[in-house]
Amino acid sequence: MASAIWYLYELTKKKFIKKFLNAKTDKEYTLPPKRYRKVPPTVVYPEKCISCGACEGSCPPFAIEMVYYDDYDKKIPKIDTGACISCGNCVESCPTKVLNIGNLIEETGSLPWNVPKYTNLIIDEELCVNCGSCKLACPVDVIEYNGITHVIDTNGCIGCKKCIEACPVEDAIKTYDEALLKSKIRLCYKLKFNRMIKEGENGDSVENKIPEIPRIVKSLCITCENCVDVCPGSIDLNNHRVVECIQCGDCIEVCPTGSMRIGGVPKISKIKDKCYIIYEDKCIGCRICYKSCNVEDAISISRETRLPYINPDKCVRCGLCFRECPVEAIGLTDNEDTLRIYNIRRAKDKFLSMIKEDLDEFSKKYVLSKSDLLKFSENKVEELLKNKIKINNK
Amino acid sequence: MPLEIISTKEIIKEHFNDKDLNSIDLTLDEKIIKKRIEIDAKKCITCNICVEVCPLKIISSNIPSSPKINHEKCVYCFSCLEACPVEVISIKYLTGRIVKNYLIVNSHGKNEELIYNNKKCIMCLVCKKNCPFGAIYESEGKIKFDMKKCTLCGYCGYLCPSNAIDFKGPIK
Repeated sequence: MASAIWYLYELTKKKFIKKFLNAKTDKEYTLPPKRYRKVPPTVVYPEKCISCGACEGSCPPFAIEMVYYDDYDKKIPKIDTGACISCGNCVESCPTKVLNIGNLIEETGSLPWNVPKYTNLIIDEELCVNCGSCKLACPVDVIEYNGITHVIDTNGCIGCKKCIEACPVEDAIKTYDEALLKSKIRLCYKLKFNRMIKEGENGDSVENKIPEIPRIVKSLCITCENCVDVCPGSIDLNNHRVVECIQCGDCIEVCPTGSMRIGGVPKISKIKDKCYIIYEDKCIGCRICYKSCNVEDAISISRETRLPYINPDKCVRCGLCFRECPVEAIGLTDNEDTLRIYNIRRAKDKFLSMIKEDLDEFSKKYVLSKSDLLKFSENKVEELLKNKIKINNK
Repeated sequence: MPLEIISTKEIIKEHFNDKDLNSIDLTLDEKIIKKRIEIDAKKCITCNICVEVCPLKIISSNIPSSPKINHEKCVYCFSCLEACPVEVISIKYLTGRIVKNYLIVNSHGKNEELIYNNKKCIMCLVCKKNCPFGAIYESEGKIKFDMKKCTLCGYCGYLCPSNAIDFKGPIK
């Protein structure tokens, strides 16, 4: 008897028996697990939507489209339920919690996450004029001033591109996405492969293709190390420095954000037909605009009136001076008006500085020559005197 | 007629090398005054009249040779020259000025006229303190000259920092 019970016990440990014991019914098989989201996301609070387009940019199958609704007088995401893969990216990226899918918001609660997005934004420190327009425009407050330039926090950015619209300088905020990164990595391999083949065949010189050693723009570098990979010399990415360079120019080609750079980049304003103007009858000469302006030579102080004036060729129309002016003496007018005042003031300034320079130079020379002349004439007179006395005595 | 005219082109060229010399007219207000007194020892009769006449007592007798003059203290008042019976004392009085790039040297005789410019005077009273004859005094905020005491030696004009005192004399 005892042995029969033993056999039964051993038998139940076998797999096929376990299958019978753990078997599920038809109904049980079709039940989704608790975290499985089969429902597409829904626009729960359309009135809260700020039409930023973050959901549209984060959707991997491009199932979301921003559509204008008359009821709300703004664009609201429209979800193609057929294309939706229920990944929840749109819900995670939404800054105002308009969307929801299942109970994702409740589940994740206050957990921190990187906002999923397709396009990344990055600010060029050499072009940034630190006007703070992007900071004002950003709906999620991820742009901060770090003492040198404004920086976008890539983890929090939703990729809505409102900062690009607000930025007064052309191309100061650059974008890069996965496709670009992929193509650059491919290019990187291609360049390396080509060089290896060429080195074997004929020693074609790859040196000195570019006129100078490129520099690394720190704020644009995303540390993808494409440049380090392709460089025949060496690049120190920790300190953002090119150590050895044969000037082949490959790093410039493979950089996805244009961080490797040669030559200067001009600050071109997006607005060309309008320009800020300083009304000299209202200006109190406090020079707050002059101090706040971050663009070189955009605001100068007139020598004649001691009041500031704007150079429309250099001004990027960021509006910082307009916001800072305490007496509202700065306004926006046609470009020609500003240009006219600028030309008059500049001509007078040039003339005055020219005269001053000439006078300075002349007076300096005059003083020097005067002392020399006096010394010379004193010696001469002394000499004459001695001669005269000698002649007399003889 | 000036005694000598010396060109100062070379010095001006050194400083204004890039410009046409004709465009520069350098005229300086400063006057360079040099004086020298000398006794011709060969002709001197050692009468020692000059020693007695000298108002500052800076000529000392040096018998048997000619008297000695303390050159540092001499103010060139011409007293000894006028008193000398054999005219062996000679005073040379040269002034130099730079006018239009040229140094013009004039030889002067004894001063005949004192010109005091009230506007230039800064009332420093250097002249009053240093006048060897005590001929200068101050009254009503102005400098006054006692022309009886004054020998027109020109020492005050040489000291004056603002060139307020000038002397005129014949150009020899």
